Amino acid sequence: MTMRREDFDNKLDSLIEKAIGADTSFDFDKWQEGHRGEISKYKAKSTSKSPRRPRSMVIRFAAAAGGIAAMIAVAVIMTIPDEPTEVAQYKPLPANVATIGRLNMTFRNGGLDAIEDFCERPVRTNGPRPESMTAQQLIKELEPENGSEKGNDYENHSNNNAYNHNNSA
Amino acid sequence: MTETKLVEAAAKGDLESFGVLCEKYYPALVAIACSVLKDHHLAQDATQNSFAKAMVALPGLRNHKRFGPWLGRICRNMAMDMATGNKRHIAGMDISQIQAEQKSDDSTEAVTEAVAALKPGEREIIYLRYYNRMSYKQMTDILGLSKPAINGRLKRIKVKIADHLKQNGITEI
Repeated sequence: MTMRREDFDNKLDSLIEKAIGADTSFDFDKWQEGHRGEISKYKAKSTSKSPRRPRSMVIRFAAAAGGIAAMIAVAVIMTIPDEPTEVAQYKPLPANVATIGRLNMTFRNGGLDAIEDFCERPVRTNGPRPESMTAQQLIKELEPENGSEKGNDYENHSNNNAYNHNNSA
Repeated sequence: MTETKLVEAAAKGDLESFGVLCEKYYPALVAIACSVLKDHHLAQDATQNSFAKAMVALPGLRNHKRFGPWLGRICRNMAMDMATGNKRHIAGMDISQIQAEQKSDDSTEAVTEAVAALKPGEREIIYLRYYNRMSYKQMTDILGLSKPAINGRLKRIKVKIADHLKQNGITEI
């Protein structure tokens, strides 16, 4: 059986060879005669061919810098934690909280008028001061007078202004 | 001198080295061209034109180790271009007619028909193997394929040819 298969293969080989086989021979000298133009082109091209230019330093440096930047970017991305970062909470100052509480209370007790009065109070207390004062006036102002703590309430302030006007006159 | 050194020398303008390479690859290239053109004389023309084209392009070849497959590709393309240009000529005398001119017995004719019915790639392998009785080593050089790959393909193609013969009533060869 194997022998028959081998025989068949051999016969098929010889049959294919007989069908398409041919002898070929090549004469390079004869070929050169017919291709003088190409040969001169070939010689010109092979002699003029310059060696491959090396990459310039700038390109090499740019490539290296790009590589390093990419590595840094990857490293940064890898180190970012998955959990969201905590944002510092706003903590109001105790003084602000107290002011808000007092404003709230004032509004409840007396409405907008009371709020207005509440806001004017610091102006009355620390309001416009005379540009110049004598030591005597200053001591007098600091002394408690008729129950008021500092004596610089609205009336005093008006007196001071009047005093200033008199002085300047 | 090894083939790579010959190619390097040829790329630098050594015409003698190029001649050695041409002589080495000529049979394989004629077989490739003949598998496309189906005419021995046209195949020889295509091969010689391929050498001219390859010679001019050789200084630009980067991988000198792939010279054989590169040359084979040039020849295949050249033959295909010629086949397009010579359609009338080839259509007028197809492969079976060409071969039948010389060999007229029934089984040879049937084999010629079977080869003509193969796909272009299959026909090329058959031509490389049987046109000049090329060795597997030579086929490996020009096709850039491994020996087992070529052997496997060749076996499958021969089975196809044998089937074709059986279908045409040729059981004894």
